[in-house]
Amino acid sequence: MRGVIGVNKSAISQLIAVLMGVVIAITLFSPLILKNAFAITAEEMLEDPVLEKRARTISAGLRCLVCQNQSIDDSDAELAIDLRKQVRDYLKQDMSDEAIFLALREKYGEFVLLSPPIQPATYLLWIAPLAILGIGILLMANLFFAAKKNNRGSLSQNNKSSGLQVVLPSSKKKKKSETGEAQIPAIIKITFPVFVLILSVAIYLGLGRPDLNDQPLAERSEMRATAEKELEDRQNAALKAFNQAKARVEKNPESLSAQFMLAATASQIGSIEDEVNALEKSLSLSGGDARIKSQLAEALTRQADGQVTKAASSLISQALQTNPEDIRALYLRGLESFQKGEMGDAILAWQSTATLILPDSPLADTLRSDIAKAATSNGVDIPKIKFASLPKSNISDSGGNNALIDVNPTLFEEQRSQFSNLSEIEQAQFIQQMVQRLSDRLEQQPENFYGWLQLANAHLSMQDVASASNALNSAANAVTSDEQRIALIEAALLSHTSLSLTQLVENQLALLPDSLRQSNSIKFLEGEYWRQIGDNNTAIKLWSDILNEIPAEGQQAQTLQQLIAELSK
Amino acid sequence: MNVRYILPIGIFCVIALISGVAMISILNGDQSRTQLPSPLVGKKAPELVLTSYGRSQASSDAALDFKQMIGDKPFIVNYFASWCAPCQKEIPFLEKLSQKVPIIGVAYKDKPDELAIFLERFGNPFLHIGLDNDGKTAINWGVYGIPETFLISDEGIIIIRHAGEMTHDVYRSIFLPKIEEMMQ
Amino acid sequence: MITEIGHFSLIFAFVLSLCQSLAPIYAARKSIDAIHNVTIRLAILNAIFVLISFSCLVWAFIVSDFSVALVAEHSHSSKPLIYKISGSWGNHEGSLLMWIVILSVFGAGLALTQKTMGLLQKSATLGMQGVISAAFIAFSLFTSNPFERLSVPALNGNGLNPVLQDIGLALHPPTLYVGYVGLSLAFSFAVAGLITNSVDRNWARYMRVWVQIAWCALTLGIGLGSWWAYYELGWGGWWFWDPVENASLMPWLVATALLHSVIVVEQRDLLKSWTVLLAITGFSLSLLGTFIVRSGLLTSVHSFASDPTRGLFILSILIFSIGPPLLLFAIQGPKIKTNGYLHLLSRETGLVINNFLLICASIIVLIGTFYPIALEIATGMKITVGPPYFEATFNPIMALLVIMMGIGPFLVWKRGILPKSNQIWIVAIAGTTVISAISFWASPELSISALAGIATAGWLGITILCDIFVKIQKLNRNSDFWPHILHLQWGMWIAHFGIVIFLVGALGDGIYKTESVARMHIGDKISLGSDSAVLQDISTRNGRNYEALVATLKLSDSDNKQIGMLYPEKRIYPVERQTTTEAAIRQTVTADYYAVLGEGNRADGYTVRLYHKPFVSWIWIGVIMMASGVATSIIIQRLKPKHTQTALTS
Repeated sequence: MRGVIGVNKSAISQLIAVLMGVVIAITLFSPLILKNAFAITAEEMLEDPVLEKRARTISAGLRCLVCQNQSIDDSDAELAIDLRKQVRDYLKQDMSDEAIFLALREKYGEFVLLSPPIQPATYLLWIAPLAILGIGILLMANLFFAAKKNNRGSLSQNNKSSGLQVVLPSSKKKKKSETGEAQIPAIIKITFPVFVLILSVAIYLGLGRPDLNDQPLAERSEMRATAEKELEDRQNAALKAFNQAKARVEKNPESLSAQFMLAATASQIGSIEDEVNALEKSLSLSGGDARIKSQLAEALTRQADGQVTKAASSLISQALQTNPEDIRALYLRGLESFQKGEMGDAILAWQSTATLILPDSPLADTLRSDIAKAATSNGVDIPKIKFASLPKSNISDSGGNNALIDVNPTLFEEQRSQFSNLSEIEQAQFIQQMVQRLSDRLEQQPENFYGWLQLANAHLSMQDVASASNALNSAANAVTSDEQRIALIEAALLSHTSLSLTQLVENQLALLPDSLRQSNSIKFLEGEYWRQIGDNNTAIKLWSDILNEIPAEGQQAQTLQQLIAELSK
Repeated sequence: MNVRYILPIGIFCVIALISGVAMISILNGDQSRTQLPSPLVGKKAPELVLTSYGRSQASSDAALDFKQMIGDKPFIVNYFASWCAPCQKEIPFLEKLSQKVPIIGVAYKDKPDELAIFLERFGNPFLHIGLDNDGKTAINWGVYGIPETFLISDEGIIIIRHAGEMTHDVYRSIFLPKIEEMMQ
Repeated sequence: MITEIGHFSLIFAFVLSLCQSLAPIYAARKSIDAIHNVTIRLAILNAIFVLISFSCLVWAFIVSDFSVALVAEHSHSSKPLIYKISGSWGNHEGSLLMWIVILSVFGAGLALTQKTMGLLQKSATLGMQGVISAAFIAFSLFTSNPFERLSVPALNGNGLNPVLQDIGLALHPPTLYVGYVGLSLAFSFAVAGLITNSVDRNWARYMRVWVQIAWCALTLGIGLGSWWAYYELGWGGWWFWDPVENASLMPWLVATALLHSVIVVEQRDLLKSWTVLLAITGFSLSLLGTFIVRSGLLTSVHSFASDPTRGLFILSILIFSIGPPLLLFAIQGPKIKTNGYLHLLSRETGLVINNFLLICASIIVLIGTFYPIALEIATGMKITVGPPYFEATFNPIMALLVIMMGIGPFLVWKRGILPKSNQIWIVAIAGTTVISAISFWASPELSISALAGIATAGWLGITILCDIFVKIQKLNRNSDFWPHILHLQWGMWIAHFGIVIFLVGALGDGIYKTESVARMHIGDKISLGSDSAVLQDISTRNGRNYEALVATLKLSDSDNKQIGMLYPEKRIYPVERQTTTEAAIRQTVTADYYAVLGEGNRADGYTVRLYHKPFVSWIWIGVIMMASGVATSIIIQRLKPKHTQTALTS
């Protein structure tokens, strides 16, 4: 073993040797090269190997913009694949490397280059590491020379490190400490926890919501499960109806009502093909009924992704010839014009459609936005849209002698006309479905007054008095105008179930303003009300009052006299 | 005072100053932070020749020149797809914009039937819709993700390029003012 | 109800932390030692209430209480239970609460242990911890409150990002946070030491174990993140120089320096001010990392929703937690007595060089990460500083460090080199040369840098083995082998050897990996080096909350013998409307086979990518070894019989 002192010198020289090796290692070591992984698929590669090599080099210098620090050569992202293809396209067009880089930089900016080129903006970046190393070495040298100085003087310095006990805390915040054995004042022992509690509560009151209930999923999932089940049931019912309709059609392929029902149920389950076929058959069976034409046109349009096809167009024209106020056909005509770019015609057609429907019907919203779209693309202002106004009471019409006796459900025009084509059973089924749809909608919008009326009437036609009463009561909650009130009273009376709706009619009557209450039409209704609950005398009295005020020769007077006469028997 | 001990806080003060400036600039103009600046802004809009969507019954799948169809009016181009979640969220704002300026939708790598469902469900603010199935048009427009929305002036210059979802802020403070400016 | 209890708990903990931070000052003012004890108890109470608060939040996620805004935003009833739980910290607010939990648990840990620590010092340290606690709880309560409620509860949640629905990623944040936040305690030690002017060997002794715990966790956390990226992100890489990855690397480098520097202080009473500075810097970098991720300053895979006000708040936390301590350092620093001497050739110097290299590396990562932002703010120009930059600058420094690590053990404390070390040098250099020669002969196409890498790794491995050999031999010659076996530096050996293993993995994968890509129909064959794979089938499979397209690949070697089966997948998550790819990995000790299923259909075929990556799992084995090494140190320290511990009062 060599002498300990001798070790130092040779140790130092050995250390120097090692350090030299280190310096060499640095220069050789950087950077640790990762073998070039490529993400190219076989089919992307170009046939010309020279071009392909260029493609790879260029790709390796372009950044994948949606990845983390990868080149488009490495990455599997869609954008990277597309850009690789683009680079190869450019190469096939004989563009030079610089031109390709330029083209992509024009579209995507400098960011698309993967490594920052050594340019004025990045000088600092590349110089920094060397600078840091340099500064660090200087600092360390300083340390060692200072240490060397220290060594000379410090060997004598006491090796006393501060022991376990600190002598004096010298923070500016503290005074000289004494023995520090004082007790915590009792007052603090008490006030401190209280203070903490009060402060916490104060902050909590500012931030917390103790009022809200926890909503663990348990309740919710039950609700959701029921909702989902109902949805499923409804879908199953629709499917069942469709299958039934299909079966019937197979039995009677020539039955118009069967085909028509099939079309209706097919649209319920969303099977456009079946719907169109059934409608076409219905059309030929019905001998070209205009209403079926417009329905078929609509189905064909739906089938074509919303594009009004030639076939649909001719159907529309035919339908409009027969009935210029066919809502569906009118709307489709507007759509057709829109798609052809004839915005003015589109707007006109749609405006006409609007005059035929109520402002709160679902079609109204579509119309509003469609007209708006057409207008803006034409560069004109959005025109005002006029909708149909609320249905008037039948009484004020002259010649409304069927008003009280007519028990037709208040369906919309087109539904009513189709309705009459179906057999009783089918009618019932049709109404059933309509009722279902209606009550669904009304769940969402319980303030839809006319919806409730419709529903009530539908129930009545199915002889479901209880549901009708409920519907009417719901309608009562949705009343927002006197006209509606009157319509409600009418409906209640029409249902001939006044006994169960007594309270309803009375309330509604009472809520009418006096001026209206004294009018003849209301008196008439009131009379009818009293008649229905059995108080004939009051009825006669009211009706007689009316007689005193209207011309004695008119239709109305005669009708009234008839009614009074009947009651008096 | 020993330099050794002062140095750290000195360095810190410098860095804090820089960070403070950085933070302020970020708070002031944070929109650009999240997207690449597009070099196409201020230049003529690239071509927009695409197959049109919704022509399944049409006689041919010929491509249409949408720029030509619009003519010399300001318009918006919106790159979207049915499989893109933020595209759903921005439909309401696009609909508001569509009432002022027509919007051409470019469906990026999409399928017609899924597109139909998307439009049905979320709305259709587009005057016309083109299909970019291979993504080449998108590259031409410097698109690197969807959605992206471009506002083009009546002279065909790209005024605004917004990459990312159109939020209420973007709609109100970026697109609306420019559109109003153009309308005057 | 439970949510509100959690909310109140957090607020209560906030007030407690405020008190915890003020108590030591009050105690010193009034010279009432008993109040110092109160500080300690407050720290424990703080932890209890924060834990209650966090449990309530996790509870809300487990039962899917959608009246809590956070749950509605980030969870869904159909998620598997474990992801419901991990979803609670898979978002900004929840992970911030987890940060706070770890902060207070560490504080309580100190409060409950190390009974021999000076009362004043302990109280001051916990006081500082209380300040940090209060700041973060305030940040949570007033800008990112996890207990925000919806007055109209959602019917169901938005779901968790499918990318995050993964066990690796569920564990990654907690582990990482233990690391980040553990450094907070070192920070508190440093500041408390400055305030009480008690930066000495005892101070280092008490601080060391906390630094070790934090470093272990940080190492594992980073490793976990890297492993996750490897098998989840689907392109076989394991480190991307992503800004957020860098944000975790920087504190790790500083923590490594701190780990070694603390030992120097404890052993030799040197480098004290430097250690204080390191502790402050380490935690500051942790905070900086938080700032990066949560402010949206840099977008990356990790981005939480960005919010400038949050960024501003964090920036203020950052400034107020770095500025005043540095000011304190400027004032109190000179008072730190340093009374050792530093010889040029000594272990202390070796460690100084090690610290220097680590800090250099850390600064380089810092510059590389922030340069694009700085440039953009200054000039509006957007550039990319990517892996090429870091590889050119960071790797050489690391290489130097590794070389120094080989030399280090042969330096002794105070001065000189180990006797007989000449023989060791010869053995080591010879061994390294042999390894390099063999590698070169086996693969002549290796680049020089690759060879250099192999040489460096070999150098370190051999020197460690030599060191072990020598030290064991020396112990053997003395009597009492077994009782003193604990005195050997097992921790250091295991940890440093872990680095060798890590390098083998990184180099093996980096230099020797092979890849093939092809469009395959069923029945097609793809070749990978001398092996091949056949696509046997494509089928569908339904998972708990996803649908998957699964490919069946049969791997065979050059003799057509089957190596194994691979099942890469493409998964669709209907609730979140996202698609993810699940790579299929066949891991063996010597290599991984890695398969990814790309786009395609039955008619045109599917894109399949296949990799062969030699030794890649050694990367994470190495990381685990590194952490185990330090853990071993901690354990051995506890196990050492008390009377053999160095008395530090001399």
